Amino acid sequence: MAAVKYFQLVIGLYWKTLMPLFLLNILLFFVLHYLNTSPYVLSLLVNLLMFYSVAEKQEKFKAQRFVLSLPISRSFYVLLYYVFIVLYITLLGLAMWGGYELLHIFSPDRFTIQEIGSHVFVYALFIIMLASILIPLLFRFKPETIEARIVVSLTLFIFIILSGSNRNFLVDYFLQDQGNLVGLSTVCIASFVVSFIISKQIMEKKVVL
Amino acid sequence: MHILLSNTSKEPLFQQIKEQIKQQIYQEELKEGEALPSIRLLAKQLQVSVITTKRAYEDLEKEGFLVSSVGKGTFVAGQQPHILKERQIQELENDLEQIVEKAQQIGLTKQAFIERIDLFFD
Amino acid sequence: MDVIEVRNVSEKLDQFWIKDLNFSIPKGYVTGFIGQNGSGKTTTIQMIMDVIRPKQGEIKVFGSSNTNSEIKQRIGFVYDELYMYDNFTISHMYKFIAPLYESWDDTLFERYRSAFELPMKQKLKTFSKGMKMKTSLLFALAHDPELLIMDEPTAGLDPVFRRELMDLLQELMLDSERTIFFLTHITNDLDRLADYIVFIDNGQIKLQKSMTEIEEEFHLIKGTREQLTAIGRDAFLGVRETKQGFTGLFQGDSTTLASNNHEMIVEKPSLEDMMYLMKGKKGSWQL
Repeated sequence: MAAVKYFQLVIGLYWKTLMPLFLLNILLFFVLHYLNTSPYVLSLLVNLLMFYSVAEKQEKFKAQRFVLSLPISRSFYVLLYYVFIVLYITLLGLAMWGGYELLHIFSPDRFTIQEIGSHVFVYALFIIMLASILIPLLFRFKPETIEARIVVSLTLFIFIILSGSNRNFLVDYFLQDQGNLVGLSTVCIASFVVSFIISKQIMEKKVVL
Repeated sequence: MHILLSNTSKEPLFQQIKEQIKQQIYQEELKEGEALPSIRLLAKQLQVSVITTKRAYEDLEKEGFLVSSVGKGTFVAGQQPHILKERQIQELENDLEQIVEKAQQIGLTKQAFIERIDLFFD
Repeated sequence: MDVIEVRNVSEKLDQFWIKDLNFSIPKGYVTGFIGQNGSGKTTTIQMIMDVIRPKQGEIKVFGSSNTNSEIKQRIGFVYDELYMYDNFTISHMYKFIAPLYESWDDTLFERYRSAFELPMKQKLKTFSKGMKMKTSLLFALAHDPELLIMDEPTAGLDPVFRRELMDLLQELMLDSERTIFFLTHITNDLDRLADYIVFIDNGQIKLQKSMTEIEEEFHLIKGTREQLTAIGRDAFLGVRETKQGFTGLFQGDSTTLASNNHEMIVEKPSLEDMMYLMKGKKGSWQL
């Protein structure tokens, strides 16, 4: 129960900032899908921009300085942030599922129910992967520094190469057989946990917030 | 009790408070057993820091003008009339000493100085 | 009993060094933390609040390490700026800040909010500097903290509200369990409120005394240059000389200074006089 009120803080802090991009994300995904273009690259780009702009805003207003002066420990704050990301991705997944169902009603011949579930699932795993890489970096570096920019560009580049070269190449690969999918899930969840531990360490050792 | 403080005086604030409470005890405006405001309340009323009123009360206690008991507050101590008089005279002597020093500095003779005192006495 | 204890804290930051910082803040009193801009005041407050975590030394608040976030239940803080997203409103901040404090008091919140004339649903970016400061104060005071830590709370406030704030702080000090740690370079604010003074210069503590000790021990001496030569500069903590004479800060019994026949002026120094005269020599400009 106690955790709920702390969670209110994290939601209160980030939701307002994330909401517009969250909606843009969903919209973009469907428009591109409808136009028969691979939505993954652009959609992931929007997500990346989102994490980045939240960090930038936080730095601009030195919000961490304020928030961590409230009765909340650094580690707990990091934990809540990761829980928040999980919540965010779940919501995004659910919104997309709903959207797909709508598309299915309008053009039943283009999307099968089975396809919908697996597409959303793989996409959610991609965002988890992206978040795992990005969050510790954004905790470690100030977003306006050159290091942060290089890292963000590199991450972006890798994701573009992997997912963009061929339409749905990666998604198709992971959907080909169960084994690939289980492998991807395990790797993503493990990275997320490792990412949390690293972020926690970074925050605990950080001299200046 | 009434205390008026001057911020421009060179005398420390706690000293001003002390002097005025003493004066009021001498003049029996403050009577034996009378309760004084707490140090924190007085500080707020006078718009000075707590440590200033605390120091004034502590000094007055040491000199026997006030008594305080934990939980009850601070009160005017019982004063024996002849001791009060003695103290007042002693304070007057201190002031006199300073005035005489000043008179010597400006080169006033003893005679001339006493003449001036006479002038004020009448 | 000391509410804050800072022991052997050193840290090298971008701009400067904090060198072996040692001081403590007694319970039940107002301690004023003074120093020039850039002397390390804000850094010190941030270290106490665990926003800056120094590698060397130890900071204790209410007897336990300041990295323990539980102690912050009992602290109200006011930074020199309101660090909050500017498209938030007070109502929005209230929603997530209020639940965090066990001792949060809605009546108190409402009382201060209406006294400070702050709107609930207006975005922070439309607030003046004074309103932002009042917003910080509002959130700092609404959980009735035992320890109030403030960084330049009067900056940006008009003179009338500044006086009112002093009245308010004095009212808070009626409670002997309360402690205020107050950082400022406007030393006038402290003249009537502060019980203790900690003076920091160039990352080092120069002075730590009660106001009554300061009143008794320190004297501002004004005299001619000949008198200064006769007494010697070393007798003073700091001297400023002009063609007309000198002004010096003296610690101790000023009657021992009585020189030749010419009388010197002995005055009570203001905190500003003390800061100005005790400052290291390197700061005086050569014009």
